[in-house]
Amino acid sequence: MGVPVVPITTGRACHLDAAMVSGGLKLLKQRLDPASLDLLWVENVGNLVCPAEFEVGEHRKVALLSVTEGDDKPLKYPVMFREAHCVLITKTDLLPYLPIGIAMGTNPVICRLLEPLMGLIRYMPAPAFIPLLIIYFGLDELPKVLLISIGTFFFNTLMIMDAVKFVPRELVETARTLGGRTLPILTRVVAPFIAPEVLDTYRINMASAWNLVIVAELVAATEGLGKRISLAQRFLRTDEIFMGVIVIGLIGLLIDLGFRALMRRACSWAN
Amino acid sequence: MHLQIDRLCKSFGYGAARKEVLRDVSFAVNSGEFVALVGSSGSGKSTVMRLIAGLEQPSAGAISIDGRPVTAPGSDRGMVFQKYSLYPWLTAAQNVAFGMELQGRSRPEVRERTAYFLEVVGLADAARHLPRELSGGMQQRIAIARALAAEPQVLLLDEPFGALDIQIRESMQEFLRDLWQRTGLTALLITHDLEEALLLAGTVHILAPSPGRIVRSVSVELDHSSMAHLRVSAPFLALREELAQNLRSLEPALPC
Repeated sequence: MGVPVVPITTGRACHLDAAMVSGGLKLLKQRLDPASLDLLWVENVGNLVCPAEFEVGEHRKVALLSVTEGDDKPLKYPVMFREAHCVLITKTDLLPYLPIGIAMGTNPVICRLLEPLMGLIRYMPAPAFIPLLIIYFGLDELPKVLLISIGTFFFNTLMIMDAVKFVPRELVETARTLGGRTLPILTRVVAPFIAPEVLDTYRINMASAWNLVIVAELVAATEGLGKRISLAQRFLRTDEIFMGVIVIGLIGLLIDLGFRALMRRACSWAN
Repeated sequence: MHLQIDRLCKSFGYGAARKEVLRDVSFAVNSGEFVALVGSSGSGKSTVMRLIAGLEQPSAGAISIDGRPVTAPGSDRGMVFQKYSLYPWLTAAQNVAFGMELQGRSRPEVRERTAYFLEVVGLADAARHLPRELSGGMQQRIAIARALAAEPQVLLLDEPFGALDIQIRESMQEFLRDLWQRTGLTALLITHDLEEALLLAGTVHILAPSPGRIVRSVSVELDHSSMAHLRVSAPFLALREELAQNLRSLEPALPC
């Protein structure tokens, strides 16, 4: 991209300080005029402690947190998360490997406990929850997010559970005879094996999630495609309704193609 | 290394549905030995293997290695299954490295040993291939390399060539015999193929079905220098025929 980069060594320290950044800026000055810059990134190193406590002259602070670090980090390092103007969560592709579906697929007790409940809630139509969600959570984004969660979580969980049940016994037992314990078997055998099916499950359930976005907007929104359609309906503008429906379909198709491309790239072994 | 199997019994199910699979099975395997268990289907031979691997618990009896009782799976007992045991998303080399990584070996060591064991099974060229790009015989050789790389004290082979064509089977039998001679590994082979057992093993135990029990143990003293000759040599054929009759007499008579 031709972006000039200046490396700064921190020596024995575990983080940058203002003096080091100033030194770096001087190095940068030899190569270009600082006035010509719109944006200067300072990448600080190390943990989630020191970078929060030393100002290096920045206007905005962005903290990066990866999914694999665990959800306890904001509690453990509150200063960083208070100081940051933006928190970017990375490696979110690992999220689907997480908890309940895998737990149900591998552990018959958990499965028997949760499956009836899941089956029951799964058959409740998500749109029926809209009035309740509006009463409890108002008209903001939260009730819409909750609506989509209600409409997709249980399907996803049950389908992931089924995928886990189809992991060939030999693959798990081979890992056990090679000295593998429960956690490595989950992350290194079960998770990669079900990855293609998890992606496929997500692709299929994305359709209902997308439907629910529109349903939520029809009922409780001030803008959005669904809102436009309901406005058009009020004024009998059928052409706008058609347009809205077609755009919704096209966006859905694009999401679908995106998932297929992701699957081809990430799980080429399964094709 | 001394693997001792002592009066092993195993039943599945409870009450009226209880089925006795193994009764008082005892034998031993010592370092460098190649031992085979032969039996028809229903003789519980795979169950013996799963018990030794620690994947099932015996109903009675004991399994020990050098005096330490076996209670759970461990990397001291490597296992090769009949099929479906390579990780389809890993390349051949990554499959071989898998067990060593689980053991927490250092990266350079894993890399070096992976290359070495691919070489041992003659598949150095296939290192970067996915399992689905390899033939059935090659896949089993990778599975054997993976098991050996984890440095087991005994290699458990559960019908390793049962899913292969007859020609590939024969070349794999020669491969395994050769591997045993070169590396001095200790192996326990489970098979329903009497010929395979006699070609490969120094000691052959014959299992009778329902419930599985050892009815005869033979120590094979034949000239193993050339497997092709051995297959058709008179003493080999005589021993095979004798044991085959023995096996046939154990089968329940077919209803007419």
